[in-house]
Amino acid sequence: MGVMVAAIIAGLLILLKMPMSKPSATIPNATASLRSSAAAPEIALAWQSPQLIERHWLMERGMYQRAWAWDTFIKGIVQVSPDGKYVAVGTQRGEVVVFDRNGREVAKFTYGAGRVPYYVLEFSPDSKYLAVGIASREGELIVYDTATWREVAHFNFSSYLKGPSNATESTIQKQPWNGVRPTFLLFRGDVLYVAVSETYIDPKTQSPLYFKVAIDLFKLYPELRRRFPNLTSYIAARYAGICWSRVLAIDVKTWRVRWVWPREGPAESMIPNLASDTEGRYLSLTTWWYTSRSDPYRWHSGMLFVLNATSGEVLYVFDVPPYVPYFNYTSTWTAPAFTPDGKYLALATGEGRVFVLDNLRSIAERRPAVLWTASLSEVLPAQVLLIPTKGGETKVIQSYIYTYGGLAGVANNRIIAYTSNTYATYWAPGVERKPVMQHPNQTKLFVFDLNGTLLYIDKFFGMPMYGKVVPFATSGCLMAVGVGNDWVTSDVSMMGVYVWDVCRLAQVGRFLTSKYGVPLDVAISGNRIYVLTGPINAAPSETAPANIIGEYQLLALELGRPAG
Amino acid sequence: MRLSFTAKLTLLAAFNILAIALDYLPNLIALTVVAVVIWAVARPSGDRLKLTALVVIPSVWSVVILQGLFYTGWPKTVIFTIIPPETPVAGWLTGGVYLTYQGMLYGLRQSLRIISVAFVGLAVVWTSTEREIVAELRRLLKNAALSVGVTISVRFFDIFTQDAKASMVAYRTAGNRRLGVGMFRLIVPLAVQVLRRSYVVTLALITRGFNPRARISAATRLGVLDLVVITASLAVATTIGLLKLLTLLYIIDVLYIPQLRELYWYVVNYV
Repeated sequence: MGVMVAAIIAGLLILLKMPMSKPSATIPNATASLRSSAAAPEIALAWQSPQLIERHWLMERGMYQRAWAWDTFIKGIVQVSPDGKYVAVGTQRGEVVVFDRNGREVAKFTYGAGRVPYYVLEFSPDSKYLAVGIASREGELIVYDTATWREVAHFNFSSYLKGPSNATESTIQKQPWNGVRPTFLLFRGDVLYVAVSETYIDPKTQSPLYFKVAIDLFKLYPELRRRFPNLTSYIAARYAGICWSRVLAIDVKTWRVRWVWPREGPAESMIPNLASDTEGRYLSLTTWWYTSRSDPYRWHSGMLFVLNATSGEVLYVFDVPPYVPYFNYTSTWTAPAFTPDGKYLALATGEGRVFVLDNLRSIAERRPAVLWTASLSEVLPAQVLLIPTKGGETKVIQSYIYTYGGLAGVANNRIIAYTSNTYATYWAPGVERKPVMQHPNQTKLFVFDLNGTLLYIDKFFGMPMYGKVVPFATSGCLMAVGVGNDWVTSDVSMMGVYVWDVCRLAQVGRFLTSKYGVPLDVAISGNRIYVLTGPINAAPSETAPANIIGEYQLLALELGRPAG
Repeated sequence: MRLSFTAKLTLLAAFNILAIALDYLPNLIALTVVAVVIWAVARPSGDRLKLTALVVIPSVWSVVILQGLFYTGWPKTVIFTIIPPETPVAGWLTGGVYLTYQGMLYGLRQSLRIISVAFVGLAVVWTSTEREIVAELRRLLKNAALSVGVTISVRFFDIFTQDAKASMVAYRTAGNRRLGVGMFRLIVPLAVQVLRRSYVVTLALITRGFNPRARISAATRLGVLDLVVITASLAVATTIGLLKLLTLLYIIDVLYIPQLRELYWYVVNYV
């Protein structure tokens, strides 16, 4: 008993005294913008498709966004071919529809029950091929020739992982993320890189299996010892799922697999993204959320790997330390980005830290050479509303808030990062944790130069929507994002597409989509922006009378001449 | 050109199967529209219009509203709040009472199932004589007593509703305003009336020489239209019924035939 009391007191003291992991630069929490400009909207609607999924079909299944929730209730992706000739949409119902530039439907594919192409679509750089990733028991990739719309290649990936998914076709049709699925596609030169993942599904319950894992952070991140010299270990326990992933390099000329990483067997975490430099020399990937049950020190969330893109050999690994004591693991969802020459690599972690590495030095030294870091989201004390998910009394507690962060990309040698909505660090099963105030740095775009100087901040008003892994679409200097609801305030009035010229550091257009629905995904080609919208319930809470606005449809927007 | 009772009965059976098998709302609406057309072909009189309204309107209204209120499935989209959760006592106890979209949609489906079959059933009954019904039912059921029973219950349904109305008037005249425990006093005279009428009908049948053991007459000769209606009804109903059954087996993870996965997808989304 005495030991327990002593341990609790010691724990409290550690929490009170523990310094935070301070980055070398911290962005001030301020609502004021640095050289921000909000130009008048200059985006016009060119055409809109008919409903791609009927509203009653979506409504019946509860497939619409909720203004009061952060979760994604409806998915869909849109991708435009590099020559701007075609725009392809993948729906959660299981269809791929291809339109031409004028909105005429040129091809439509369905894949049958338990095969859902909702997650990844990619055109080859010459616009000759369209690769469609399909979530299914096998995890498939189908490549079409865009001249004839005939299938030219078909891959099954389950043999590269742990065999076909335990999820049945019926489960996958309803919850495609439970199937084996390609999670990222990247064409570079004559190679198509594919990241594939498989979550372990309990065959009886048909849902993912979770387990509790305890890790000594000192063992994983030795640098933390310097910060806590009085501690001998730093045990962090959390729940995790089981996931296996692999990366394949496929030759586009022969459609043969050139190499597979890791060679010895699947990585025991999820790989949500891939990135490469312009010439295709390096390939980067990160691990997300899942941690190995058998070897958590080998495979866990928040690892960055840089590979030789030709051979699949690991060049260096950056194991990003967590932002203790608020977070006991690191998560990186959006893809890192190389500068075109491959000299620098930028990375953003979920809790809002940006890291820029000297890629070439890191390769030479075979260890990460971090040039600078910046924190976009200081953790702040705030009240949090706990709402039981299965009904019951709500409660207000004192906790901490932060704003989720990600990397929008690299353009014109500028590092562009963003923050999403406000979230609470507190976690407990069976409750929704809703902050009662917005983090001052939420929903903003940050532009840095390669030295870490902050050049520009601008604000948008809602959560970036994750149709694809990276919510931002880039075309030259233009960068567009689909912005949805603000879940803290349940506000949908400012949802729409926001476009910036990251070379001139100006917002060049904004198209509010409250008439059309919530933007689920965006794609950009020249001055054309394609937005897939879906319905959203604009009511402030689940028990308030619904106000469903918008349709599941594709909008083609035309960006006018950028303001002066 | 008249349809034989065999064809009508097949059509009715097909509607029963389709009403159960179809799930996609536009299809159920289409089925109901077809049923209304069949009903309209029977040229209903003013009284029959009233009877139809009496069958259809309460079914649709009550099922849609009740399901909207008490739907237990998930998800739920609140359309209207009847009792907000913060209302003292009632709100606290119930957690709020709401009309939900999914509940009303489920209720609409169920009521469309009921009324589509009811429209066709009414048209069949109105355009068929007792003789046709008895003869066909005897042939099908191979049991004269049961056939007569079914025929009489169909034919006497109108009279039963008139009796019920008369009993209700008497019940109200006696000063009862609400249905409750006093319902017993409404049911007893109704039951007595039914028994008395059954006794009279039985005596009439026996005196007219009704013999349940008599030889079953030969099948009715079917015309071209009959054959077309029977074949089309059976083909559509069995095909859709079978597809739905196979899809149901796939959904509940009992039987999955990979070659049918395109078909499963269409059935789940469009049937």
